[in-house]
Amino acid sequence: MQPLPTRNWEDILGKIDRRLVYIGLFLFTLAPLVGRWALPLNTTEPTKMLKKAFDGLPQDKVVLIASDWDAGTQAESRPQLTAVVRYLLRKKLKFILFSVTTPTSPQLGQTVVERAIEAEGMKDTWQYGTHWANMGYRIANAPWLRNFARSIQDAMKNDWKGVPLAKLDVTRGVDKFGPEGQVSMLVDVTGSSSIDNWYAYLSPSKVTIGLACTGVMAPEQYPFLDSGQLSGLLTGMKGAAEFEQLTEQKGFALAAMAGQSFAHLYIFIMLVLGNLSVILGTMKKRARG
Amino acid sequence: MILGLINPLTGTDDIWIVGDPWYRLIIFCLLAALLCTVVLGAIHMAGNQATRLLVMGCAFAAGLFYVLEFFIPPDAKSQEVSLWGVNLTQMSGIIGNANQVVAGFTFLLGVYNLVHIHGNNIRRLRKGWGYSLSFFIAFLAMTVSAFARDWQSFFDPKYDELKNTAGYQLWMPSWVNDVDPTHALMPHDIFSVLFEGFYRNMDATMFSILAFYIVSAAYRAFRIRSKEAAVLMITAVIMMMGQVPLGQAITAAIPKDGFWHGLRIEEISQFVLNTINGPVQRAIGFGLGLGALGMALRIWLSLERGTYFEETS
Amino acid sequence: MTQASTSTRKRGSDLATVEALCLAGLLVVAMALGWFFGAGYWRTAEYWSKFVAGRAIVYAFSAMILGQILFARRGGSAFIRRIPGLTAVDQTVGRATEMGRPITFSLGLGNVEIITLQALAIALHVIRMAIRFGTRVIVTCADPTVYAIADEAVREAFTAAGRPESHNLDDVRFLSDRQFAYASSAMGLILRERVASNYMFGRFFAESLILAEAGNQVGAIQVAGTPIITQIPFFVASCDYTIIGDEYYAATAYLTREPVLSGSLVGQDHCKMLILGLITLGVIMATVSAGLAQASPGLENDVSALVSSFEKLFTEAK
Repeated sequence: MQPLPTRNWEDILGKIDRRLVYIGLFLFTLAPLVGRWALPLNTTEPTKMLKKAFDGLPQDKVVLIASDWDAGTQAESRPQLTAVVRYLLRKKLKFILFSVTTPTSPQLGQTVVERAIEAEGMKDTWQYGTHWANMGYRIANAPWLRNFARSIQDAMKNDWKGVPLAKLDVTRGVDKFGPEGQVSMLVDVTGSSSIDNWYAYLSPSKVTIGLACTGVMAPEQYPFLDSGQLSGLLTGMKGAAEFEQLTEQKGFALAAMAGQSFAHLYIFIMLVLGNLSVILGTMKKRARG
Repeated sequence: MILGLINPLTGTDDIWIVGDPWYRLIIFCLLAALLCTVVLGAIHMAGNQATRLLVMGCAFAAGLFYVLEFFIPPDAKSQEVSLWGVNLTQMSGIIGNANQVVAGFTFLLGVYNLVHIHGNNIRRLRKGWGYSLSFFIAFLAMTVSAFARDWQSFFDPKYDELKNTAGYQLWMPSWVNDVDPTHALMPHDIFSVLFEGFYRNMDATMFSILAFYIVSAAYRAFRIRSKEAAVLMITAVIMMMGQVPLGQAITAAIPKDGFWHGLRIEEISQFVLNTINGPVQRAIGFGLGLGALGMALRIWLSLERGTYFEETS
Repeated sequence: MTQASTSTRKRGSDLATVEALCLAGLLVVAMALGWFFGAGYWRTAEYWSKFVAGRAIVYAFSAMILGQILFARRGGSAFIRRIPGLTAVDQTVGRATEMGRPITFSLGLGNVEIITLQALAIALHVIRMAIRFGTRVIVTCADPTVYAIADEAVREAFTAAGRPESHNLDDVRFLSDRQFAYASSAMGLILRERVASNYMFGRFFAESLILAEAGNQVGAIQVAGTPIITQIPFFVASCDYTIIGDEYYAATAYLTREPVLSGSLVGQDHCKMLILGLITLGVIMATVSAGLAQASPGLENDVSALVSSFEKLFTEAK
């Protein structure tokens, strides 16, 4: 009879079955969400910059929100859009929603805005068409983008239900970006690289550009923050949570941050375990000479 | 006159609506069809060398339009580019639309490919044929329910306006097309169940799988076996912990406004992002931009030897 | 710099220089024509900073790259340093042949664009090698137009190799144009076929790690490359070889050793030197301007006007 292979600590720590690793992550993320554990959060500079950019906007102009996310990134993008819209509602800033990435985005954006209006108790005072509108999905090829940068009326023509822009109070006369135009700011809530379009086509108009992107995308955006092409940045769900804290909202992101925090802690623990196995292995080799 | 004939018209052009000769559009379409037939016929009938030259010529002509449209500085006021009376900017929009039309047709090719592969899997009862069957069920369910829901709006121009008024006849029952305004956020019809209930959640689930994979990949890969690996792992840990409250708590004892505030973990992670990551991203960005420019030039001028335009020796 | 130094060869270099100078001359002539015969706004500084400068810079870069391509065609040569991921092509195809399992090649989510065309060029190289060994390569696409092009290119590769009968219609597959539908489908394919090697080249987003982990689960050798910088860390963590940054665009030159492609790389390196020069100039100007503002306030306005004009060339270009 063959003796059972003996497993040492080095192997146990270094070769944990991936299914156990997955279960561990699930439990670490779930526990703080179920237990509703709250953790204090530091607000980073890019988030503060975005709030500052909103605070400096004039009331007589509109904010364009590019809602470029779909179901895949909703865990990060939805709380971001909710937090941004709720703050715009509090500031009584009119806004126009549009999407260029996926055809499903306008519906998702519409739902978020309607719920945010409800959450702010402005259902009777903040009307579609008068204070906000949804332009729907546009295919953003280069000619359309160039046209959009030159004339919003020409590029958009009508809202997502086919109503001409001239028939909606909020979009009537909104045509140009930047200091001389009617759009004071563009915020891109995105799960893809749509922001590159706005850098290329809208930056020269000097319109203020804000970004709420997924956590993975954020490192790529720092050079633009540094160069002033970006006026503020929300990084993933953490960015949404910071914005909620900064603007005193009680939203989903702040509640969910504890889960994210513990997930990070779990990864850290796994890294330590993995490296312990390497250290044990090295020590054993040295001991053997 | 000739310019007028070759200038493309679309259904939305004002000139067409206000009584431009009807035959202009037809002549334009016929000329376009003739040109395509001649080029395609020539490509098929010509010898290898001639075909290659023809393809290179077509690639050059197609690219030249965008090159001219990009390099010629535009009119200061309209910001549109014109060359010998032809407005290239407006024409690029039309060409863009034509590209979309071509892309639309290729979608049918894609669907054909899917049907062909999965059909064969079922016909030959290959391993995992059940998955192929689920493809057909899902494909048909989404397509039929979406068409059934929107069918009326395609044919009745007043549908959107009248759908909620009493007496307006809806073609489909409410479980196929729910227009009840109280259900605006979540219509109670079959398409919404499939889209909101199934597709969206499955899509989000696939994205969430990433979290599990990140842990297992990090656990497997981030092991300090060399100096470089050590730097990689230490930076990863700083970034990770600097982003969340639990990590920030590690250095919470250091006063925010004090002399040592730079040692707080969130400050270090911001420093890494801004000062180290930022310039690196820029440098890589320059290289990538120039690489793309080089590749674009090579494709345009058919210089991509060894891959597309000539068998490598 | 990705590609290191050039060993200059005299032969042909003179002619190439003349041609490059002709390209530069063309730009100067075009600008002069615009200045003298263009509308009045051509003679305003604002028009030049907004509409001319940016185009002139891109033109200059194009001319430099083309100049080097011309030089290389006339006998110039370039040294390209070793790119580990690409030297592994033989190894991956060999392993798949030994194991009798297929190779998967994912072209990413991009449509017909430079990134995807480069990925397809690399795929064709792998496929040509696999044809020689009789190994299957399954190419997956997320864009129907890319599928149509890839299908045709693969068919041609089989015909060119003299084995059109070996071409399997099912080996180029359109999976879905939805990101995660594509990811799950490609993942299923990798797991079901238990592929020996997995290539991922093209435009990738969040699905990168899903595909790479699937390959890892079946123990495939994985080679990945993408110009989408945010996805590089995921590939580094889960693949055997990762092509980073502008190595991506150097891949075909490295694989084929065609002088034209190597020349293009040298041209790109020269452009980078120019960018480096412009950055250095900008830094010096900004530093001097800041220094003068403190030292002699009188000069400050003139210098800062110069600095802001320089800045405008890069920030206002449309």
